[in-house]
Amino acid sequence: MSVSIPEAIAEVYHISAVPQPSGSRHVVLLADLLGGYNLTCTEIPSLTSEAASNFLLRRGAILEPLVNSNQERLAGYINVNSIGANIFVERADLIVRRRFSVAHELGHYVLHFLPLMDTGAFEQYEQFEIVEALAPFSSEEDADDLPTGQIYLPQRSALISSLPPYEQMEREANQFAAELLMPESVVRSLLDRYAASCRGDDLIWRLASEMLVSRSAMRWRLRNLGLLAVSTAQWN
Amino acid sequence: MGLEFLRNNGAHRMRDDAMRPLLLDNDIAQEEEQQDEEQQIELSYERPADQWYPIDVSGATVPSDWNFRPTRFIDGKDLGRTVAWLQTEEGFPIPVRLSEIGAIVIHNDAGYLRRDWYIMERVVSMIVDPFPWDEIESFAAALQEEGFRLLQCQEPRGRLTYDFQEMRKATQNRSMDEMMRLEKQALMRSSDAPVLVDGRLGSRTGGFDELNTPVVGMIKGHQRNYLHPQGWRTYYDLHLGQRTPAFLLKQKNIDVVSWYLRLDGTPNDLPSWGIVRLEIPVPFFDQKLGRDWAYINRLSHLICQYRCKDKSYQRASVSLYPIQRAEECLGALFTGAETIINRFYSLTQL
Repeated sequence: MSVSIPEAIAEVYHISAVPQPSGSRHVVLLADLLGGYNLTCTEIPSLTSEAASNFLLRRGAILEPLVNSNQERLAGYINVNSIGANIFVERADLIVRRRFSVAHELGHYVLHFLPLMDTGAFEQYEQFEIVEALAPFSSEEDADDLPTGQIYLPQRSALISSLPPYEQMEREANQFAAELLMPESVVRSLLDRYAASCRGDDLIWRLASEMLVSRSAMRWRLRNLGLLAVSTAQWN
Repeated sequence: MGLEFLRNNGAHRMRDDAMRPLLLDNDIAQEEEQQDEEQQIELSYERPADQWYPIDVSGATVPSDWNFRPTRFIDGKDLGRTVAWLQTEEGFPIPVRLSEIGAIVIHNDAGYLRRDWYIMERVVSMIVDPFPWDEIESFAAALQEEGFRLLQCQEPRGRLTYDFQEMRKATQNRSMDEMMRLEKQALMRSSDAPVLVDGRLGSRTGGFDELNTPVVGMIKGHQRNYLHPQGWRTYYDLHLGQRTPAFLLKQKNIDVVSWYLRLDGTPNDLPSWGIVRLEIPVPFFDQKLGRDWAYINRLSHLICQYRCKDKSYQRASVSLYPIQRAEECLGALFTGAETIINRFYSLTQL
């Protein structure tokens, strides 16, 4: 059932028929990538699972309130059922964080939920729900930690055993979001261009600005690629 | 949506217009006072207050092979204006600033000034967070394909305001901030060569080695009161080629040794005419040079020699001719604001 992250990203581009960033464009067109899966994305102020549930009820997308919905503040949320999938993000978050939340939820969708549904675990027309709630980001823009979430499979808890452990799924969703929004080829190309004249936070700032991501996400990605030492070399 | 983002959100063109006073500026004044408190000043660094008097540097002897003679000069430029504005759903006005920003290194090579390195780019600055992420993403990507970079501005003091001028100032500050980042890149390119930068060192930290780079910042405007009464008496007593004693400025980003130097002025000019403030990093002066006051005298003497003598140049009294040359070189590299603005209007269909 497991799909490698590069394979999953290649599949996302293939399905959506969106061109990969290249040349002068370094911003990934995430909204267009969602279109390939017919995923909707809604921005809600003061996002909670209850607010998402109420939104879906008003739209007629669900007939009963989501199980386990509550008032805990969230950065992102995805609800997958037999009809479709809906992503929600916190409206008050910075644009760069909202994009990361959406990419994180898309990661869960293509890495974990689609493969689960493809296993035939669900009968045709069977009502089911899979939910993932992404915790809010740190209030510090420079915080190095990426947020993690919690997955619920309310009606079919037996299926949980066919999914990877929670921590692994969260790591994978973050890795997916980072690789999707900051492709290695683009990061390396920008690093080649700017490393000679920018250092430390200035270089991270520059790269983040070019790719419309947060500085913390860019720092995480550089560390992940083993390039943080290059970027943060200071005068000695 | 792409480049149609502005039009689809009801943006209006805006004519070239000078900055107006802020509508609600009480909080801003308080904020500036708080920033002042972040600085600590040690005026007795070179001399106690009762021994402050002008120091003549015109007689300072500078050996021809002196290693610390500034040979590289760095200047930056932010040429642009607010070209449009739109509103958020709540009615907050969002200015859109378009500018060409750049930085340049001019090298004094045995008396010949030549361009060593430069960088320039076109940027669009605006507060983006009130808008849907997918629209901004598409707008940023489309701008990038046309050679513009979208700079995301922070909301002034962490919240939106209905005061257009305050929003406009925040937008302008963002492109200025990006220009200073380009100046830092220019500083990096200058390596450890003795270098003079037009402006404060505090906003350019990271671009030079505080211990080993002989870097000097030259500040033309005087916006803060650093001096005691005897300091001000000394300041106004300065004649051409004289400096005040040096003092220590402990700041958030960098500690600097600073002093005032008169580059120009006759008895009939304004009292502060032709006076600049200079800054050098404390680690370099304290640790590398062991507080060698002769360094400050020699440096001041050389800066006086570099002073701009072209009276047709508006800021000649507080400028150096390599900096004037840098400004001219950079200006020549820019396309021209109105050309870029017209292209922007055409692309965005405003």
